[in-house]
Amino acid sequence: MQPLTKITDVLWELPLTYKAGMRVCGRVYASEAMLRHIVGDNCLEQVANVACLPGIQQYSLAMPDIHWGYGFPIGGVAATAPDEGGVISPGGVGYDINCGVRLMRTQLSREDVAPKIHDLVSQLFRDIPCGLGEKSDLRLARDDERQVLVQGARWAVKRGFGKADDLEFIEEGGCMAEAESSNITERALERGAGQVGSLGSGNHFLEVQVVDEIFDDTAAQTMGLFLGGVTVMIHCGSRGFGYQVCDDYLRVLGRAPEKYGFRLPDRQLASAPIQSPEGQEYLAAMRCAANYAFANRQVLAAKAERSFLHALGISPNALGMELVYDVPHNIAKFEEHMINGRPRRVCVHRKGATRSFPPNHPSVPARYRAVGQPVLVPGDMGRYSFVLAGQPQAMAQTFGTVCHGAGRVMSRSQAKRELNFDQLRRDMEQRGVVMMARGRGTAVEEASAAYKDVAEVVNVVDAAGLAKKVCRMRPIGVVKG
Amino acid sequence: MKAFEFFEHTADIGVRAFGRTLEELFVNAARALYEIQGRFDLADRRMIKIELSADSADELLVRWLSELLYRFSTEGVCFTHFRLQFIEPNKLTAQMEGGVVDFSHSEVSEEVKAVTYHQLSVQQTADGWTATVIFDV
Repeated sequence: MQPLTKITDVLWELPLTYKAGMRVCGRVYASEAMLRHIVGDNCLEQVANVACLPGIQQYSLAMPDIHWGYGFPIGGVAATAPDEGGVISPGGVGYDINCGVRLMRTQLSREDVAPKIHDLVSQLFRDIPCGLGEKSDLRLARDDERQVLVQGARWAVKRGFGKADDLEFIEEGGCMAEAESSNITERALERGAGQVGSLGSGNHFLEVQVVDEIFDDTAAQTMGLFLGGVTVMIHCGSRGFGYQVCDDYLRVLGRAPEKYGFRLPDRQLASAPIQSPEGQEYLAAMRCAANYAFANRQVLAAKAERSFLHALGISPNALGMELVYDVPHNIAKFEEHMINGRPRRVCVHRKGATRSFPPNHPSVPARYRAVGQPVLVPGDMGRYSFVLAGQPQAMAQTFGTVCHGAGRVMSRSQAKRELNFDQLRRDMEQRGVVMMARGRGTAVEEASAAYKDVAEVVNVVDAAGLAKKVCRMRPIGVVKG
Repeated sequence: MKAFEFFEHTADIGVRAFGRTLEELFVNAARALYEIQGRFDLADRRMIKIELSADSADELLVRWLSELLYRFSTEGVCFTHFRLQFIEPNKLTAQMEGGVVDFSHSEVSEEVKAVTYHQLSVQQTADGWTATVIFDV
């Protein structure tokens, strides 16, 4: 399909000739059926723009949940080499730095929870600050906040949110090294001071789910997931702190292309060489925001556990809530990948894309090393979400990366024109989902019809050998901002 | 003249704002920013004066909207009355009056995370000024 050429049934190439200035080709993972939406969106232009970044290696990649973002497309992946003038771009990370997903399993089955699901969702809605204007009950003094920026989820564990064993099951151990808070602006600190432990709005959510299909018994068992088992999924990031860090550094890095002598097709792709002072400063600040997000999800998970105990009136042992895994999907990280037959240290930008490391990779926790890293792919709130396990082809083809979600097919305004809140709630009830939302408009924009079917998305990455399907979960309770 | 309109963007919200003057354009863009986020009941009147400058008029628009967003997000302040003065197209002073949002009596909608530079433009037209800006939500 023009302008793409077919490589395999699930892989398409955007040629160098598509746009002047492209340094590498684009590669899009998608089924033929998905291409119509992709070609009709502005996102291929953004794949081409990313291909213009100095130092980009191999391909500007797009995952099957790709859609039009700003700067990078959502679902965009790029690796840049520091020793070839490679750049770091805040546009390749996004405003919500380390937005990500966390999955907890419980010992409970659907029958244990379903009769009390209304009480449980109400309790979660009371306990988890969400939506516009809702502040966390934690208001951090500056010294404390700076600790969050350096320690990430470890800070939360020290404060009694969750336990030390959780850390192993968070990417990066819940704490990115080389986070430097001295260049963080007062504005970012102020925006972040009252938001640790809050969900936010937009597409962020907390879901109570039930495992309804297992695709890989061994992997599911290894992850402690069983048919009919109740899980909790949290999708959230670094809140106002991360937005402000990105905003602050876009201004700094906006001047870098001229200073360092390169041109970019979109101002939102503002970048600086990784080895420049501007690039290093952004990286140090970005890691602070990533750590903020790790702490935020750790606190939210602990709050959710307390809500379960309270609403269901059971003991922690009976609940048995344990962290399966926590993945960022808006982040830039240094990793070693084989490029043209030799190992290279590159900066992998994942903008709406998830790390997917295969079995035996040293960064995968020991518990999962035989099956691969758990990859958490939320769908829309009316259908289902998936757990995948990273596979070797991800290392060979996509810098160890896969999709992050369903991807929108309907704009927010279109969703609001075509759907309404009461209709949405009825539809959710018919699907057996209890939903509570702070903003009615926001909830409507997140309706199933506004998203691709996430099953189509994960089938593509499964078929491409980037990750394999482990299990599917259906929501029974949804909390939204 | 229409104050602003929303345009289709897959994941975020695009705004096209209009104004007979640059002042009107900036005020209308500010109203769009608030409208995305909800309809607010205001308490505690607030008045402030700010000065902003940037490298260009379109960057100044981002700076301006980001300033309002910052005050909304940290102090919960929504401004309703504006007196803007452009010293140059990329430098302004603004006197603003508004109030602190009473969220318990307001109809909240989308949290705007940030004002992006993607497809950003401020242009003079035959009728005045038009701006395009995409908000990350």
